[in-house]
Order: sequence, then structure tokens, then C-alpha cells
Amino acid sequence: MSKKIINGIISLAIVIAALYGLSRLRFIERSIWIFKTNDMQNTRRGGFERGGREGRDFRTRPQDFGGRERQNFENLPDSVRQRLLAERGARVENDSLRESRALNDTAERGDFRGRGEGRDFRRGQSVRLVNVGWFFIVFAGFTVITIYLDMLLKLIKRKKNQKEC
Amino acid sequence: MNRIKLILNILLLIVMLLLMDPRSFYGLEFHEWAGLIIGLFFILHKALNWSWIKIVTVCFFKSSPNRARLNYVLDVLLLAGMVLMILSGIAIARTINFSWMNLGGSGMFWRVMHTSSSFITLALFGIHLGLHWKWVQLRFKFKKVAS
Repeated sequence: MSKKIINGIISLAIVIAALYGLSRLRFIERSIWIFKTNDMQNTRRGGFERGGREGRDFRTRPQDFGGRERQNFENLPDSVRQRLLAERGARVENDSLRESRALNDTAERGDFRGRGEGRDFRRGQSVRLVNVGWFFIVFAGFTVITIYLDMLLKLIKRKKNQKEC
Repeated sequence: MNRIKLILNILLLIVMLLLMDPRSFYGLEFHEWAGLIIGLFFILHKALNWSWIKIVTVCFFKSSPNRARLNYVLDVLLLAGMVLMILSGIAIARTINFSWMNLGGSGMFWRVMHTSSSFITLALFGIHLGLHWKWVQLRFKFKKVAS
């Protein structure tokens, strides 16, 4: 009996975590994307976690990001830029910082074509399994719900058969 | 044979989960190659269960039990999901050159297709595992069976 209770509690925890995972990954919304491809707004938003990146792959024009103004600003000579930044009270960046930020911006918008021999930012050697963990939980949630539904249906069928006998 | 099936299924699950987020595990290159390889694994999975597929296909409208029919329909949906996933993956591939395949369609269409089909297929995989949970229990010997 205690084993059944423990199993029940674990299953409930998995289902609750899976429900959270569904909303975190925007699972349902992204599953039905294909059925509303005409709604361009939906495909432009989204991605993993809030304000995620995947949807941004569709944005290819810098003006979509308000990037044109920033690009012009960054093309100014250092002295002028530093003076303007000082006037605005902002932090003065050196060239390497600017360069790294520009690379990050490129990565953010998925505009990695043309950065040498077709290589892209996604080829990194990084392992970040947070999202994979959430996908696993959602997967486990579907499995647990199916197992319990199956058990329920079998129970109903058995009771029905008993009544008929 | 059952051990091989179990190992193959565990591998399929792990690779499928790693493929769900292209940024999670060694970038897009791994994502695309593993995506192609998982297709082969999937075909192998079907080949290992070919006798069941053959029997249910022949008897689907006659004498198959309802559960077998449900599993069969789910398997067909899974197959469709895998085909769409791989096809759309080929259409939007960036590290492997599939331009010679000339699949047509807009990049956005294929990308949306890829995301949606992979999410739906993952959910179907979960349901598939749930329906085969007894088999998993037997393989791991969670459950003692008389016969």
C-alpha cells in the first residue's frame, strides 16, 4: 500500500512539473504553430523560455531590432562616441566590448550566414541541458497520464464485465 | 532480442530529448547529424517489430484487439511525425548541404513545420511509452510475472 502511495505522489509531482514545463516551453502554442502559419505574429515571437531565441531566427533585417540607429552610433569615431555617451551618462565601452556585443547581437538574431565558410554560432561545444530536462519532464508527464488513463480504462472495463456476469 | 530493443529504445529517447533544443548539446551540427541518425534508429525500431506490424496490418479491420488498433494508429502518427520532422529538418539544414534536394517552400514554413512536428511527436512518444509501460516494467523486472 505504501508503495502505491509513494508511486502516486511521484506521479502527481511529475504531472505538476510537466504542466509547468508545458507553459515554460510554450509547448501547446508551438505544437499548433503549423496549423496557423498565416498568423505571422505568432511565429515571430517565442523561443525557449521568455523572450527566447528560436523565433528570432525569422528576423533577418536589422531594423527589426532597432539596430540601425545603434549601428550608426557605433560607426562614429571613438572620441565623438565617448563624448556622446558621457553626455547621456552611459558607460563608455572600449572596442573589444563593442565587438563582443556586436557578435552577441548577431547570435541573438540568428544572422550567422556569411561569418566565414558557413560556420555559425550554434556550433559551440556547450552543453546546457536545462531545456532538455524540461522536455524530459513534459515527456514523462505524457507517459504518466497515459499509464493512469490506461489503468482507469482497464478498471472501468473490468467492473463493467463483473456487472454483466 | 528484447535487450537490444530496450537499449535501442533508451537510445532513441535520449537522442530525441537532446534534439529537442538545438542549442543544448554541441550545437546545430550535432542536431542535424543526430537528427538524420535517429531516423535510421527509428527504421531499425520498426524493423525489430516487423512481425507485429505485419500481423496488425493484415488483421486491422478484422480480428485485431482494440488496443492493438490504438497502438497501430499511434505508430502511424509517429511515423508521419518522424517523416515530417526529418523532411523539414533537411529543408532548413545549415551545416549539411541538402540544397540538391530542392524541397521548395519558404524557410519559415519548414521551420514552423519542424518545431510543431517535433513537439507533437515528442508528446506522441510519451503516449506510446505509456501504452507500452508493461513491456518496460518487464524488461526492467519491476514487475514479477508468473509466466
